[in-house]
Amino acid sequence: MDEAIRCTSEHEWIRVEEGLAVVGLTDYAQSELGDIVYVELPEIGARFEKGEVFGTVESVKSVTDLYSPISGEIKEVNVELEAHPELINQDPYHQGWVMKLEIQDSSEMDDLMTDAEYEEFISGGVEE
Amino acid sequence: MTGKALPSTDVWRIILHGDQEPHFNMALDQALLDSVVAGRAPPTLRFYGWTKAAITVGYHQNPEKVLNMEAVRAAGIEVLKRPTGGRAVLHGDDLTYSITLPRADLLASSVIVSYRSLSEALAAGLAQAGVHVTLARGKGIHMGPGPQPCFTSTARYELTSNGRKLVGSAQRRMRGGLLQQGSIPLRDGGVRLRGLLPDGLDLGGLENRWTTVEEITGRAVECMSLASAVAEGFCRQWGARMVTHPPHDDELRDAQRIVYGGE
Repeated sequence: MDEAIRCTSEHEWIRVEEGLAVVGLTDYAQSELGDIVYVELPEIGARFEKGEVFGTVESVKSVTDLYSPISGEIKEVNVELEAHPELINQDPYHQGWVMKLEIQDSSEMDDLMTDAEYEEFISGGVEE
Repeated sequence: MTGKALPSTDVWRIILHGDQEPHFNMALDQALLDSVVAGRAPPTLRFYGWTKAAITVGYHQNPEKVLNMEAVRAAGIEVLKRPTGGRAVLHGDDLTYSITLPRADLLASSVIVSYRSLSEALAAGLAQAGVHVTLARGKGIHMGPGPQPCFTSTARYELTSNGRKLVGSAQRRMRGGLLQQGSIPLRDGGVRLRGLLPDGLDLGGLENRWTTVEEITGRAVECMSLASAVAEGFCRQWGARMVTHPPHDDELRDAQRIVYGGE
């Protein structure tokens, strides 16, 4: 269990590192999606509102939308995923991170689930 | 971790749509997904044909890289991007389907489990029409948006006959909804597609990798007769009531807006 992580009901995780919000897909998401073969990354400098689609991933011919857990401006994207999308499957919480956001309103983090709450959510115990 | 099953449904709306314009076909599938997600329509299985030959490419594919665009333009074939994943498909001699389902949770079922549920229902539908197929087994293969066309490889739970692929399918998953699109070749368009692919692309026996409905049944098949039989078997397998109903006016308007509104 990672105390620093917050998760969304759409299966993204977010963790604050050096003042930026790092975002990726949860381990549950990658296991349900299957082998990820392509990641459509957002552009650096683009702004997204909380809940807005910021990219897509493709696995087993299925394209899945990715939703921004909070509002903010993209400061960095994981370009390693362009050549190695499988990093999301192999190491979803570290090497498989997707983007880093400048936090616009830190109170938006309050709505997100803790790691423990998310575990309950995916096992069907919590309705967000 | 095991994937959850797709949500059950008591009723499927069936749309037997005949031949439509290529851009309208893609736009209406998007409009149907929006309608189902908004709760304005039940889960929907739509069958359609094409007024002219067209190639659809996967959402992440670049047509310039996966097709010989000079040859495609010379042949007067339109190229469209699907909202779903996967690879290039030549339409015109096929029966195309789309399935739109609401999803309470973005990952209400895993990708592979949802393919299996829908493939089992489609296989039952095809059997109803006298087209006997099996679900491909083995490990799901690595299907990126590469240059090889859709029908040159078979993923887990796709439908095959004697080891050759009959139905190619792909999905789009977005908040609240799932769209699956697929193509069921009626007769062979493989030779034609080969001439529309980039020079030097190694297909390694393309024609031996897929089959067609007419090859399996040994007779000529009419598109919407096949669709009607498949729909009946699909709904029976699902244990759901079948309601045949054309698209609603607002769905048709939304599709027109997508085609002409530049979305």
